[in-house]
Amino acid sequence: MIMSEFNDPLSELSGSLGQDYEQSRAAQRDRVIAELKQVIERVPEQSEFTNSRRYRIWGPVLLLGALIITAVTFNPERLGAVAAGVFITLIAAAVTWQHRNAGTQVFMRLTRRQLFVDTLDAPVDLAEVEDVSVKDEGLVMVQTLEMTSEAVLPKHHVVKLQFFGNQAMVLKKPRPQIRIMSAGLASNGRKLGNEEVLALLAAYRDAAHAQRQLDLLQNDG
Amino acid sequence: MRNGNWICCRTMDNGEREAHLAYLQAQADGPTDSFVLLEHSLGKALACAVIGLLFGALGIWLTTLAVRFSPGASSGVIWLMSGFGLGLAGVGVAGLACAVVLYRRHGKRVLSVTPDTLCFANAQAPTPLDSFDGFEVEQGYFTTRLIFTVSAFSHAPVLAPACFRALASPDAVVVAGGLRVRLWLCTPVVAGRRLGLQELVDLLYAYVQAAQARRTLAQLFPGVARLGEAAR
Repeated sequence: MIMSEFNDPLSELSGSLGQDYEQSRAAQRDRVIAELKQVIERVPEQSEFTNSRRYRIWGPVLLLGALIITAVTFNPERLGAVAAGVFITLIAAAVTWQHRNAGTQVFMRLTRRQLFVDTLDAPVDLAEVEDVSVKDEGLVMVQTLEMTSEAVLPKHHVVKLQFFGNQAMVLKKPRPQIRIMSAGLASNGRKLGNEEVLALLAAYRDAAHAQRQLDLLQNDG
Repeated sequence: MRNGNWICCRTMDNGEREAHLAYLQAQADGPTDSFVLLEHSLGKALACAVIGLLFGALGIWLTTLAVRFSPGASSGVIWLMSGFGLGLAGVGVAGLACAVVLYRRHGKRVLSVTPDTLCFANAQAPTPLDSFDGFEVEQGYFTTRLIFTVSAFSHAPVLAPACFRALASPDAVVVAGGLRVRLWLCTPVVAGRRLGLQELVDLLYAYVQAAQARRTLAQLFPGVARLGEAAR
């Protein structure tokens, strides 16, 4: 009893210091978790994307133009010109036909952890995405996801004979990379600009990174 | 500022922490008055009207000329002239329509800002300022675009849909899947005074910054924030 009383101040001090440390550690951990949750909850749980309707509008215009050109230059003595006109018309018709349902079919889905694309055989883990970039010069929008070097890459399958169709490409060299090509991008029927797509992709990537950190933290304690 | 907060707090010593706190407190004071940002598009409406009238008159003149000379000239020239004239007249009508729309847009409220909230023209209720991470101002040839970044999609304001009427009133649209709110205006006017780009940025920045600082302080000291709410 006496002995223990004698020892008490020191052990109390160390105990209270340890407690203080534990408390501040716990408080800091809570704050980090709150921050991570904030980043995760920035984006909706799931967003769905379709391609834009640019070729549903431009396809028929192109077809009409090609038909007019073919009709105006039609001359049985110059078969080459006629063949060229017919060729252009056929391509325009194919574009029009292939994009008749443009903007209605979801081909890409983002969740807080993964990215799903129709033509990739497995979802992409967004936490393994390092950098994103978006390019659209009027014909096709290309979203490039730079992956970490140890990322597990899915396989893509090519949709053949599609003009400006939705495609995905997985490149291993020079750096692991996933490219998603589509005729623009739209969500909820609204067309998205380059910067908007970039903001969305970056926000989802950040959410996935935060989710991974949160999982690690919660597994630890 | 938001993302780096806990990291910088961890590596700080006490002095730095106090300096940071003092900085936050100074920022949190911020502006206390409210203001209303109005649209000024009278000049552009006038310019549109003048251009529209000019093109319309030219088009009509060309068409009447074509009609008058139709007995004498070849049919190709007549077609070309009347086609060109009608095209010009069409441009003129479009210019006049633009002028009418811009005239209706003139003087409308774009934003009303209080120290704590921001209300868009087509919003049903004011949005708390601290639900915005930041904003961008883009100066185009004819218009100024304002893009607000929302801190989370669930904080995005509920806006009435802006279709073609958006021309006649400075409505905002939620873009990028709810992560941004965008609107455009011709010339911003506050309290009867036109604002330049930098003035607009400074004005809005002070409000957003103060709201952010208050939110950070509230996160650091939840108890004090509750007291502040009660006192208000």
